[in-house]
Amino acid sequence: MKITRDNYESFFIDYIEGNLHESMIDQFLDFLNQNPDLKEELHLFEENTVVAYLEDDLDADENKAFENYLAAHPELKKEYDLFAKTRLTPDSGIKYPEKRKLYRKSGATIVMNWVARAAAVLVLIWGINSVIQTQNTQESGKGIQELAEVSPKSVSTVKKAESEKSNQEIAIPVKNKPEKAILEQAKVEPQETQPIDLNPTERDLTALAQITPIIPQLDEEPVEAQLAFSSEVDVIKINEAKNVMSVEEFLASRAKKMGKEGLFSAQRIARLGLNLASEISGERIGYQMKDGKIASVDFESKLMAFSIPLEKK
Amino acid sequence: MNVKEYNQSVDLYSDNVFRFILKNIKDEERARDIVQDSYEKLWRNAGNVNFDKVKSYLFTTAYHTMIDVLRKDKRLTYRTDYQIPEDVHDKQYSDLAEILEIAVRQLPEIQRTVVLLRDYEGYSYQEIGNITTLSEAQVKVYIYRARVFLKNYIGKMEVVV
Repeated sequence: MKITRDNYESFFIDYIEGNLHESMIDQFLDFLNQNPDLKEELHLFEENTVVAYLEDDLDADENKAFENYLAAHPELKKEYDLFAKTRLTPDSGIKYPEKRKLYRKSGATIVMNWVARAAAVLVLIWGINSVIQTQNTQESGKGIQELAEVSPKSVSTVKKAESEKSNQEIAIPVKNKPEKAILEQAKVEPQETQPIDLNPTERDLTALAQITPIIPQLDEEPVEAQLAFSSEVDVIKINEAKNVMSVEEFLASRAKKMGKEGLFSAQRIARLGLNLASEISGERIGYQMKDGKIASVDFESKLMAFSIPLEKK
Repeated sequence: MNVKEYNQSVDLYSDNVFRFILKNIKDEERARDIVQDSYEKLWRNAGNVNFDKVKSYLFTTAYHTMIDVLRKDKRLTYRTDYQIPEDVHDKQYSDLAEILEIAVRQLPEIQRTVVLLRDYEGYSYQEIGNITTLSEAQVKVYIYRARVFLKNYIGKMEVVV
């Protein structure tokens, strides 16, 4: 079979795939020498095959044939190496910088966020409410403190009880008869007779919560009546009776707790809470100060505005 | 596709899509916008896209968004003078990589796109055809031409070096 310009392509393929019969190879090479343009085309055929091989486009037989051809044509090896280098590798240093903007939240998450916001509002309302109530209880606390300052004779007993905290300021407790109601209180809450940490920064809010139930009981008795008791001081009896001392200690710590320190903490917490509320609400919630205390809480918006006075009249 | 899968697709593919677009247009800000647009479209169609098709969806959307951007803004031509900032280079950035980088910039747009999809993402001719709306045969031809161009470019540069 003679190779012509019309049928040369099939010979190209056979040649590259190693299927050209040995008797035809010389004739094929002669043909190429006579047709330099087709020799160039053969080179394109070779290149194509190299790419096909590297792109894994050849089947197993074609792969084997190409490998044989490549081994038989070392001049093609250099080109093969260059082709192998054209494979691009991604630059892993390039990263999308704003993934955060792409993330989405699920419906459940959005609902949970709203629930969390609603809960935050409820906590805020509860907080303001607590502040108002704390303000009221402080009025009672003041009464007890005044009462406490009436009886200076029992200082030594209290000092004895609180000797562990000798460096700290100690409130002067009231002397009382072992009155029934107060004794009951002492029994109900024996832990209150323990020394109380007077450091305002270390105290937690649960202490405030614990003392509130006592207030109504203390309030039941007019201050004048309590003062009447305080005039009948019997130091010896007090020193003898341990349970009386424990009541005094209880009252001393109670007075202390409800006195200066308690007032200070509550005021501070209230102001912090209101400052926070003011910040969150865009200064719609505010408060008025009078004599170092919160006098009223104000709320102002486009729709409505009101002020809640906190001082007892 | 649910929200979790969507967010997973952000982790898995946003870097790849960004890299692909950035290599094509060499404009970081626009590349970022295109990625963001693509994810917005994905989110809108999240109900209709299966998670196993997400990558193709993102590349297809990003590619067509890029073509739209290029058409709308004729001024945005491929910037051959663009330099990737030093700090994002791979450590093993070599002479060959630099030469290839320059060579890729010289490729015709469509050849660059198909060869990037082929080499960066390992897509088949058919998959590249789906993304670029070309036939499998066309993709193959473009890739072969790109290979020959890149090979010749490297060969020339190596002679110079």
